[in-house]
Amino acid sequence: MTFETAPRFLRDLETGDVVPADLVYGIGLPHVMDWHTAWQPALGAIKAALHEQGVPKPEWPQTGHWNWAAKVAEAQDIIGFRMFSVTAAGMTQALMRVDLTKPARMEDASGRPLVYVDYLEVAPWNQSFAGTRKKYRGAGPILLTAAVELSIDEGFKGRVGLHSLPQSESFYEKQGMIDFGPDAKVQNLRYYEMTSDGAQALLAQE
Amino acid sequence: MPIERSKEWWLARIDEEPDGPIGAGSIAAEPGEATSSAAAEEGSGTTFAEFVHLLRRREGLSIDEFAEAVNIDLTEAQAIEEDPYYCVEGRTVWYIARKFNFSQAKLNDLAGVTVANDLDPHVAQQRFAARSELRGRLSEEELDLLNAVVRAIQDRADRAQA
Amino acid sequence: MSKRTMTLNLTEAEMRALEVLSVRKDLSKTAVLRQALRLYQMLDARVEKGDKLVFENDVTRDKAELMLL
Repeated sequence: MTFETAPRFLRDLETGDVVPADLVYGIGLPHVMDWHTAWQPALGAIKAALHEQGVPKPEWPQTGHWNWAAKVAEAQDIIGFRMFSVTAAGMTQALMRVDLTKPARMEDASGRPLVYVDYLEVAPWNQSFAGTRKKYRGAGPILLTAAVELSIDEGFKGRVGLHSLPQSESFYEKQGMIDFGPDAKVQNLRYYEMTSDGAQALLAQE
Repeated sequence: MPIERSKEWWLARIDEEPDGPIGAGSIAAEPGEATSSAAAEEGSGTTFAEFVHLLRRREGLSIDEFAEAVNIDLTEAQAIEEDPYYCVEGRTVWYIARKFNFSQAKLNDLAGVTVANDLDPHVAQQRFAARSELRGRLSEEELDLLNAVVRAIQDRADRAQA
Repeated sequence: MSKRTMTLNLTEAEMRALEVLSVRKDLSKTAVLRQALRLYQMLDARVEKGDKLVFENDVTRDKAELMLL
């Protein structure tokens, strides 16, 4: 069995060109190896450079200590987890794991299931810190749309929930997610939820 | 399965992504991982061998070109990337730091943390293999490899905390 | 993802419970059962790892362990 894929696009911010990408409905060994052999060294180099520049820690990448090998191993054969990756130019550009067993918090859907984004991370070169520019734009919308589409497929009406990293809050707000404020149980990260109306608006054909 | 959408629809969506990084999920330290602050300090479990390998690829250098660029023997350059038990010398770290404008202190930390590269030889050989065909369920062999990578990362974090 | 079909025999009471859940969760009956399977497997995996499944009363903070077979 191979993972299903769907064609997508990313914008190469260095050239301005649109590059073909794939949304992969799974995370396989090649993606984990990309994380291990390419993402981690690149992240190490970025952090070393930020340290050199004296950039304050809140502005540093907030992911990078997530062990994707462990997350994939944990999720093997567990049907409540689904995993996604985005690839382009022969490299894994983003990874996501979602949990189908969590309930919505929105009052009119309280207790009903939603797609909860356990972890979403883009490759270090697709993040921008203290003057460096991201290489590819678009992995975030690709993965968030994938989560919403999964939610619809499963009968959850497009509901999606996640705890945003502080540097990404404005992105989720712009996508129409509702801000529930800081969650003391999750390191005070802000919890966001996409309602079914929000999902419909997000996916509307223009 | 997803509805087919036009390229124009996707381009409008991807261009909505702001300049900042996109991420989501708990940032609590997990079992087997260093705490967030320690992870931020040590570059999140990067091995020196992996760092050098990526650096070399980014510079478009072969191993012997890299060896020449940083003034080390070819055998040493090969050992850094391929020998899981190789202990890199301070002098070598100094050459690499100077050539590529890295902080020597930071690179020393990176090399120091991974003085004995803890990936076993089997994993070291596999890790630079060409990308294989995407497969659904991991085979037993792939799962073993995955678990070896997980163990190596956890062991490294445990030692860093000890 | 390919799907397979199974015929399920339920008692009247089980069918009623399924219908009630279907309305409360705004899910088809099939979706309710798939969700139940996910939850069961997820909980079982965690208990297998050594976690305990506990109910906690939000008000009283009383805890009661749920034994999962």
